[in-house]
Amino acid sequence: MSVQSWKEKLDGQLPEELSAEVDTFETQIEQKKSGQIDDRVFAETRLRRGVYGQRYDNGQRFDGQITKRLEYPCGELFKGPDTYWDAPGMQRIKIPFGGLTADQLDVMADLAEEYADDILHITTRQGVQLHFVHIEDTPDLMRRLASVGITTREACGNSIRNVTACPISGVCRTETFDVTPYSKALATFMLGHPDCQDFGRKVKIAFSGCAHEACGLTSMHDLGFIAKTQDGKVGFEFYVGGGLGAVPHQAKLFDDFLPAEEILPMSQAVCRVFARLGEKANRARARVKFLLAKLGLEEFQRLVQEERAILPHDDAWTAYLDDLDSYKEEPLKIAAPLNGAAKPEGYDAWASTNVYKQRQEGYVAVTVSLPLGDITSDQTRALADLSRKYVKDTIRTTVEQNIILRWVSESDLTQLYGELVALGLGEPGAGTIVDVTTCPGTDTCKLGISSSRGLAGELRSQLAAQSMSLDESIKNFRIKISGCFNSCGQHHVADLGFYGNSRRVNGYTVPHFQVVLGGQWTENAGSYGLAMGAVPSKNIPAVIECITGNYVANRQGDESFQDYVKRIGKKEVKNMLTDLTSVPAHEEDASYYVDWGESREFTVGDMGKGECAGEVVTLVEFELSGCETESFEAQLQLDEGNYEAAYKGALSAMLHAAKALIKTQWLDVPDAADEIVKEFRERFCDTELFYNQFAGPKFANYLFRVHEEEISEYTQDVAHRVIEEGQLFIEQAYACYGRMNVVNA
Amino acid sequence: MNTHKIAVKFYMDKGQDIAPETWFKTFNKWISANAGPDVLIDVVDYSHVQNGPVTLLVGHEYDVSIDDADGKRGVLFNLKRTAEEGDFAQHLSAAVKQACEMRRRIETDGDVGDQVAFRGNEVCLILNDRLQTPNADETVQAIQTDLDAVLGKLYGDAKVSISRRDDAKARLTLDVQAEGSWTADQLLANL
Ligand code: HEM
Ligand code: SF4
Repeated sequence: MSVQSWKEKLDGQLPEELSAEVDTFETQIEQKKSGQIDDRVFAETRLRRGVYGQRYDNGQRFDGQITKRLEYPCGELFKGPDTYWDAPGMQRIKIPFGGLTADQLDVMADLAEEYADDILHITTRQGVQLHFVHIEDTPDLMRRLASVGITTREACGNSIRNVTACPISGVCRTETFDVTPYSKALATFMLGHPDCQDFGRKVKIAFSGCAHEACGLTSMHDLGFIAKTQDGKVGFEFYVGGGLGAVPHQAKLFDDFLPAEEILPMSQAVCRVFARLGEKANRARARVKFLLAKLGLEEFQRLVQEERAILPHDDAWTAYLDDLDSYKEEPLKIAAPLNGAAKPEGYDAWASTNVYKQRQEGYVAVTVSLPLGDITSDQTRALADLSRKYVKDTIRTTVEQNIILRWVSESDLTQLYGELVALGLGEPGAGTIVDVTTCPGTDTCKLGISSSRGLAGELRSQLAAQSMSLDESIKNFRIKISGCFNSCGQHHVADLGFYGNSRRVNGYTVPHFQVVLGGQWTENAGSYGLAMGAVPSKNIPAVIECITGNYVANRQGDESFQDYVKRIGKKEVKNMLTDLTSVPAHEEDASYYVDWGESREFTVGDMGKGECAGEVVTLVEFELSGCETESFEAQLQLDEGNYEAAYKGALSAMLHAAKALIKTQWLDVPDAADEIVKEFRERFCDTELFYNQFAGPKFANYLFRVHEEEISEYTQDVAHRVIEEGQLFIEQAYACYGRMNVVNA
Repeated sequence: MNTHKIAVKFYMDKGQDIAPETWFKTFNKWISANAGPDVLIDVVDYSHVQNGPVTLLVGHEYDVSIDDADGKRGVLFNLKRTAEEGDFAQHLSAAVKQACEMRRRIETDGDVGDQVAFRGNEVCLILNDRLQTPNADETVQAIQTDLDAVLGKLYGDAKVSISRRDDAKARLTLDVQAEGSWTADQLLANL
């Protein structure tokens, strides 16, 4: 019977790089436990691997009457500032362009069962989240993901986040061309790229196959690409500086035609400019959008183009273009019409909202509606089996928190529908008013103010009950809800958007939502909605009834909701809502003081410090911490008698520390040891920057000697000496960096 | 072969219709009343998914949920972590004992106790660890002695049958049927 670990069991089955990364993270976990890594550095380390904090990880929770301490057994061990080690956390899993295979679904289902709470949550950026995960389970969780080709790297933190794309790209009837291979290439290229490691904040990228639909939402992204052909050439309209959040910005057109071979280098150039000039200290102004606003578009373009011109050439920029056909999807079944097949009850309603006729005759893309983006492990495995039965690994997640099976033969539709219904996955209404999108909100997010999921659940059931009687003109409205102004639920781009806030009323804090109307979902999130005022949470269903009712009654001709809101104006809408803004006294109706989906009296006291912005850890600090880990691993090799590996590990740690310092002056330091040593000598030794007050060049000389020496036999003594020297060298690098910062300040 | 990651489910004979909100309140009440040493953290509502957790009380060492997986409502006790060292028999025994205590806690709860009854002759054991306890006959053989010992203690001399669910993708899941009908008190007295 097996008693091995996942590491042993999956040995040889993981891509080498991913495997090494997870090993390193595991070592860092051990180092943190023994007090060798600073809380802040560790927080950023785990965030860059998608390991997020979760509500109540600061060790307290309001129970409706009092705030109780949660006595996690870890004592004073933390995984970030004010974040207890043992507190359950969230694991975000990056799914580039939302593309999944059946095997990947199976593995994630298993992980949700074994390490989380049996639920996979699809996010508003096509990712997957598991909640209530213990940090010590994350390395195995990552290994199991890596075994099916998924990495969580840079799913959070100040990095390039999941690259999103239209979920029907490649099968869409109106797209210019399939953006999948380009989004995949950019995601792969950017992952762990050295130019993307020193951002002040996150960077989000999206691809869209056309300009008029919504699917890609490029206007609200830091970098947005819209497919375009010009003179027979394939390329993109390239947008920069969009983003939601408390201060939403529409992206600006950077280039109206960027040839395909330029998208990788140009993105790289933007990243370099952002890393160099973007705000670092003030987190609230650190996104690309603020840099763009500060510099102005023209200056921003000039700087990026200047950077582009001096970028060292990289074959990866265009290598994928030779291989575009390898991304082509295929159907499993032959195309055939449904013909006269008997239709089960509910089929027509479902088909009218959840089935999209593909560009390819006889095939459809089927949307599996997931309430609140949630799906159980059992459902996920069953869905994987259905996908094996009907399609070939052509599965995508959507930003509306659903899952799409592409390439279903029309003739299979009624049967597939029956099977989905049996699994509880046959709900109709995808992309309509019942398909409410929501961020995690107060359920798990530390920053949540009001319960976005509670409200979404309530609206979903109320609207589903009325769906038959809803007026056609409002059926396809989008409702999107965020638990606070940070906009993770993308409320700005909904017809009816809501974000959580609170108001003091009668001496109590009462949950509210700000009503945001008329955001445009189509044309890639073409315009943002207008805030109309805060309404108590419990009145939001009435707000929807009031506003949609007025629209249906008073719209002129086929006036869109956006135009209607503009025409009647904010004042008129506010008037409509006046009656709904009042809160009855507590004695009269206490339900207003308890949020949706809650039983505790409302509080904002459970909020904690969010980790969206990551920790401000400079690139050098971060890399030096990595060198310490490397040196620690060398020590482990020594303990195991692997002297050569120990020696080489220690040397490599020294070289990396030197390289980290050189990067403060020159980003393009090559990887070759000789080059690093040469640059280090010139920049830090000859200048005496690295000199120790008492020991002069002593520590620098360790590197020079070890680099040059030839070892005939790797003995314990030799390895031991180099490890010791390496540790001193790294310490000296920290000291040197500290001195440089003082000088710079 | 060892794991402490063990889940135990008792099915309901009565109380399947208790609203999720009622469970939500009940579990929140448990958190309020909690004076340690168990760490109870939060309650989550998943009543919108089919055949999954309905209402989940999340703790540090264990979760307790009203659970619809396999299409039958019950209470699921899920042991995630333990400070106790021990072999499989000890972990199994501890998990079963804590699950019985949870069942009794529900049966005697001031809000839901009267409305609930659990099936007295059935329990489901799930080994939540695909690495250590893969879903295969060999695993069952390897733990048979431990199983017999714990179940023998739990149900005394009553005849017990165990069957492994045959679903290659599922975790190792054992349906245990015992002769007679056993209350939580009786089971706890036996342990
Ligand atoms: C100040 C802190 C935060 C800010 C400013 C922020 C902002 C945003 C924005 C603007 C989006 C999505 C819109 C887009 O597509 O660009 C987003 C995505 C998201 N946020 Fe946040 N967020 C913050 C913290 C958090 C926290 C603490 C959580 C909960 C743990 C969270 C959960 C999510 C989720 C689930 C998504 C979709 C994620 C994905 O797959 O990439 N956010 N965030
Ligand atoms: S919008 Fe606010 S509450 Fe919702 S996930 Fe983002 S930070 Fe949390």
